[in-house]
Amino acid sequence: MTKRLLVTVAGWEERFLKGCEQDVLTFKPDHLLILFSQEYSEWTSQNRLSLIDFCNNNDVKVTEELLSFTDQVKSFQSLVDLLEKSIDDPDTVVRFNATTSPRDIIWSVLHVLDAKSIRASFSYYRALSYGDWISRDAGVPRLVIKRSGIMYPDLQTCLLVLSGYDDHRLGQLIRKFEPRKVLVGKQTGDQLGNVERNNPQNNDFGINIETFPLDCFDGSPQSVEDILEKIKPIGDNYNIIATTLGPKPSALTLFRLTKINPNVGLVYIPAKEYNQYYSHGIDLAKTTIADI
Amino acid sequence: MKNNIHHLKNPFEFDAAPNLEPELLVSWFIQDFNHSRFLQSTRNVLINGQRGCGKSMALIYNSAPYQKLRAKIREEEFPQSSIGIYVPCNTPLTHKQEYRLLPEIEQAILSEHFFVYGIGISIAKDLNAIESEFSKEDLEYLRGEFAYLTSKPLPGEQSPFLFLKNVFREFLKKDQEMLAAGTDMHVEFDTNTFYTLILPILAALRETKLLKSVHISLLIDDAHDLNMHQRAILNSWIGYREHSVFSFKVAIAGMRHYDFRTAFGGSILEGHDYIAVDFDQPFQNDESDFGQFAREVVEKRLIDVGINKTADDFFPEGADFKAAITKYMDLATQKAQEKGIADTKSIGDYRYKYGRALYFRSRDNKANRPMYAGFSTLAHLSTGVIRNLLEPCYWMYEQLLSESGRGNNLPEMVPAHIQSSIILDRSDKYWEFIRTNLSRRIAGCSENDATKLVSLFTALCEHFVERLKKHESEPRVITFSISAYSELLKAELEPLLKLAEKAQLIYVRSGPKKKGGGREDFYILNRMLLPAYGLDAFGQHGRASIQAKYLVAAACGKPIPLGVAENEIIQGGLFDD
Repeated sequence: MTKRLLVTVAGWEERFLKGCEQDVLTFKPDHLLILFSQEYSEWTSQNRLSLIDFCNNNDVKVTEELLSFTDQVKSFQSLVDLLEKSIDDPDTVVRFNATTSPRDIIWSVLHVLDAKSIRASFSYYRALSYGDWISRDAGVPRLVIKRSGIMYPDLQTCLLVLSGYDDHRLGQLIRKFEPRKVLVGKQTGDQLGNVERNNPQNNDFGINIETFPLDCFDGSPQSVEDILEKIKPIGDNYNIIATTLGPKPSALTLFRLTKINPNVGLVYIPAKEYNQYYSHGIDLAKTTIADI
Repeated sequence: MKNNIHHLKNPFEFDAAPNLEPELLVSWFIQDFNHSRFLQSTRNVLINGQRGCGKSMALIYNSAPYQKLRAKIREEEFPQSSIGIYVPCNTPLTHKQEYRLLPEIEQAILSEHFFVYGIGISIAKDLNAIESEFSKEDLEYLRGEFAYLTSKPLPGEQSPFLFLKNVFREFLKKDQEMLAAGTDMHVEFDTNTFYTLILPILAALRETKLLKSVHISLLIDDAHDLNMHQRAILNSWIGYREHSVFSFKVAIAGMRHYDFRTAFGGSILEGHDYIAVDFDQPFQNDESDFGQFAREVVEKRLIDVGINKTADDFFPEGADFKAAITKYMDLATQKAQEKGIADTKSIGDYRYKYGRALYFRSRDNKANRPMYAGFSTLAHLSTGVIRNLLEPCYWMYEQLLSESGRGNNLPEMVPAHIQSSIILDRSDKYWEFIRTNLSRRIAGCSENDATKLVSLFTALCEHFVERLKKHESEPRVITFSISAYSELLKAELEPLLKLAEKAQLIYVRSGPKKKGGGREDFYILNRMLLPAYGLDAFGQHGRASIQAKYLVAAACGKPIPLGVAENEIIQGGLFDD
């Protein structure tokens, strides 16, 4: 019988618990691997306990493992070990609930699953409402281990950003990489005050920002096609580094982009402080489930 | 024709040097005799300077393609005694992190491997731009050498430099693909070092007729972006003291915090291994090196778009402000005479110290902020950083064009009211940035740090406002040093000051101590902070010595006292700053 593994990164938001419960009910895993960070273990403890109870009541084996959110190298090495240990059968089917995972960990999990040719899907659950800020005290932007693309020292840099509402991070990326070109995939629609809040081109970053419309919630391959079309004219003339400041399905979109165009590198901005009360509730009507 | 091409272009474009068109860069660059002398020397040179001070522009200007372009424009011989190879370090290749998955020794090997490919590709790129200068025999010889070096066949007529670049890129691609594959990390390819890859290329180049007696400078830009292994290996190469064939010219933002250790456990020493050149320039008056340099930069750019005006004519002072300053200068003369000061020099000193201060003191507390206009004001507001000078000029020019329309007539000057409105707007925006964005834009700056920095810089500006209005002996001082700096207070204050330096809120210089000999750091506020507080952008020689405890308290919202007893004034000398 095919083994079914659910992997998730523990969060303190309500949608983490409710989303994982939903995955347990619909994906029907026989094993749940909960990765959690030492730094936020207290914030996530209640959700983890509730989820373990829920799994026990549904005959799902649960393993909890610590993961560093701050040390990229340790985090990557731990992920490789933990996933290899949890996927002892190559036919195992995996669901990765990325709702409350930092984006670099999303990319590392996807990389390991892809490298091991594991059949996997991705789930993401939206909240009913969101607070003003999600994280702050940003660290130095860093290229993601094993997904840093193919870079040449004689090319100028193009920054490709799928936008969110935190333009300061866009500013930080521009300051760090001093790109020649900046492309921003701007979220379509007017949900969550998007039209007023999402205007990266209005900032004074000292460089022209070219925007293009993109549905960052759309985890389908169409989003990848849209971005590929956008970067096609750039061709081989730039080193392209990409990140998302928007919703998590756009992290999957960028991962897919790097599979099709491995020249593109992924970059992540770590944060030292998160908002404990960032979101409320879960909107099950707007769930993203996508094959990886 | 030139003017027709350029009249729509803003002459104060302040884009990063690598993004400028070569003709514009060559046209706009102002050669500083001292800097150029070092950059063209055969010595190893380390160039210090904050972002925007012109390090990259100086390196690019001295790279082979630009040297050739200059020679062509000036109808000079090319090459002359040295050529430069521009090696940028702020590239995504440098920022890759995969090496960190390896054991320490292999990390160093892989880091050097990528670094030397970067240098190799830069050599190939820059020399390809001057390939037409090489003779057929030279090119034939290089084809043979490069084919041997890379173990790759090189077809008959192909450019040896393009070949070299393409082969290195091919190797780089394969190596990066190998490192990205799978989940583990093994370096299973042949790695290169400076001595196995770069030295043979340089040796081959020296065998050509074109370069046999030409020195090659490797112009390493943004070395602070290299990883720790790459910085250490670069230091080791710098420690190699034989410079007849090649040398390094290395640009670093913030040499104060740079690690000078080599890969072999030693350190490189100024004077022995390298000469240090500081692009962070002091600026206290129009006659300083930077004042002259800034004037030349602006006038050259104006001429380039067909505006034949001096910097002072194009950016005139406001007539009312100028008249008021003249009036208060005369008042200062009168006061000096009333105090019994008779000799011309002493009267001049009195006018210098108090003339402008009297004007600022005369202003009603409820009055609008003073008018900030005139080229000297702009130069002072730049705090000695050329990008800080160009940025407001750029926005003023844009404003001028949007108000007057982009017709065919070139502007004659920027009226004082436009200058002042842009300066005040930039200053307000700068404060807005400090109040809301520091923790989001400056890596390593927490919300708590940002709050403290806002308090500290607010207190400093308020302190300098008080000083301008009330201080008896040195009212216009806007620079400070730190006294009574215990280790305990240093632990609290230094991290904040480092963040402030990173955010370019302050510029740190070093000068002679007035007591006890030796040198000390002193701190210059980014002068764009001053207009928002109605402060005079023109500082004066000298610095206030502020006790560390007051600065620590200021970071928590306390005012910095003005009393002379607490804050001794250090009288500045001509060469202090």
